[in-house]
Amino acid sequence: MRKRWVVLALAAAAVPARGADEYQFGPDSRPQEGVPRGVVHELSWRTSRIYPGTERAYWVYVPAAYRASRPAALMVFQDGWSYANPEGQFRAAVVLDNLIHRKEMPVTIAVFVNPGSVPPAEPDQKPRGNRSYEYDALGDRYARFLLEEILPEVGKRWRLTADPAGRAVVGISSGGICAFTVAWERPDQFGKVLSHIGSFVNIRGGHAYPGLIRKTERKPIRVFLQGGRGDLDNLHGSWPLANQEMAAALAFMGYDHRLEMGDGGHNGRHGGAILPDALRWLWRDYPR
Amino acid sequence: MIALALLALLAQNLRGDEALSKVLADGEPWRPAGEGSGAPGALCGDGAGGIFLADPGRGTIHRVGADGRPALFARGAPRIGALALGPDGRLYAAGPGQILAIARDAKAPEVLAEGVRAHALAVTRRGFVFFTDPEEGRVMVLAPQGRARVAASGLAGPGGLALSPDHGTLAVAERGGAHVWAFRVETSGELTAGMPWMDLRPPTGRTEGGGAGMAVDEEGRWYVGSPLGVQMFDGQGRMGGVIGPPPGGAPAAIAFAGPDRAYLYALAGGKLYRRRTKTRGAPPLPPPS
Repeated sequence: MRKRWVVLALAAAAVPARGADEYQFGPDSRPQEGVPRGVVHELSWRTSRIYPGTERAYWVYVPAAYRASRPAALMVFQDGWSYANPEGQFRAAVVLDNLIHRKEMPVTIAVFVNPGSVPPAEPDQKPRGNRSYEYDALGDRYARFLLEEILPEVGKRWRLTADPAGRAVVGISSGGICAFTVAWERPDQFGKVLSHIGSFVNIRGGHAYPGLIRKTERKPIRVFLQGGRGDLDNLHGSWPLANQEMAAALAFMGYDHRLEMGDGGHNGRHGGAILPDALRWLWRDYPR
Repeated sequence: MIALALLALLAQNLRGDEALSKVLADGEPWRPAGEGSGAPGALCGDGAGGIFLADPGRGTIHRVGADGRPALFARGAPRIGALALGPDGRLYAAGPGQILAIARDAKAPEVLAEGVRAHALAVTRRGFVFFTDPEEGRVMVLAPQGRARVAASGLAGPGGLALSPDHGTLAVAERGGAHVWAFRVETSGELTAGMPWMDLRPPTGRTEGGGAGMAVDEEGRWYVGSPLGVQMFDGQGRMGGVIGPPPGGAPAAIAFAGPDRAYLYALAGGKLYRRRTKTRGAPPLPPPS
């Protein structure tokens, strides 16, 4: 499965035109003595009905403290390998090991899902990348993909909580707006959103969210937005302004939310450096 | 490592900079084209710096060369509604209830299918002819030496269609809907992995996108004629922008043709226009080896 292209694409996008981007990992992003490590299982999904013909890899992180007798909290990460890669900008499994061990967040199973692609019919043809169609589109299609296809499969082997406050969605760039869309469409299933440099711009109409948020009864969603003042400004919109618009709309409607604006560009360096803090904030009042 | 990273970046285009500025050239607006080739109703590039134009009223097909001079290619043709170049160098055409293949040196066109309704057509390097049947909401396929059969159904008034540069993907625009569908083209001619992949921008206050004729450039960008002009999408199905319509109105059929295949041609209001672009149409593909 093609995990490398996702990492390389994000790494290459990390050539900042502006912005400091000088973020460092803290100790919670590094393996620590005496902290038991979870297991990461690599799986694939090739039989989607909602995205017919697509194939994708996904990984399931099961913490050392998981017990089948107690349903675990859940975090679904889009662009899965970018988060799971132990040498990437996020190193999420390491962070989860550390925070779960110290009970700074509940025992959580993480599902790292890569975007799909349609393999070519003939060897000299190119695959059709499905990331934008899956991540940038509004509506409940991707939420249904998680709820009807991926999560039931995960649920065959591991027990997940049904409490939406115990289920979070995470993503970067188009994955960020995707995460928000999943919770927006299905707050009965997901009550926590973590977005990194989220693409709340007009790729496929996502710039409508601030207006929708302001004129929709508040949903039970907690939202952490990480943005960068050096982020993109292009044909789709201005990422820094879009994230600020999102925060202003969430504030207006009284959402439990936080916006962390740094000086970084369109990459995961800032998000990765503050991932432990973001997770602590997101899970701060959830029973351990 | 850096080269791979850059390649991956370009492939994913996370910077999202497939803007109109990459395609439209300063000082190159729509200009009238095709003088001397009749009243064109269908067009397609000839793969050699020129363009084929069919005049349904007069029953003629002209080939306008790279030098801009029209030469009669065929006469006595039935009312041609659509043209496409095939991998065998023949000109494929949609006539009334028929699909034809016209070779330059042949006495008469070969009738490939009868009793069919084809609004637009595209021919793959393996010789499969895909065509749209808007009234029935279907995409049909005609295999070489075969009969027409349904390849996809349930589309909202499928109009124009186009193949990706490697003929691995077929895109079909909806006239009565708001999407352009993308399918994988199997070696059998079946269409699989169909998804409503690109969002057309409908005129304000309407829900139908009015998607008409399509074209593809060598970068894999998709172009769709519509009431708002020519809507351009990148290889991930994201809209790059809407190119304004020519003076004649909404483009009904479009094609990359002319010298270097760098001109975007459009039929609008019964008249032909073209504008020079910074890109080039996808080149015709020979049959696979």
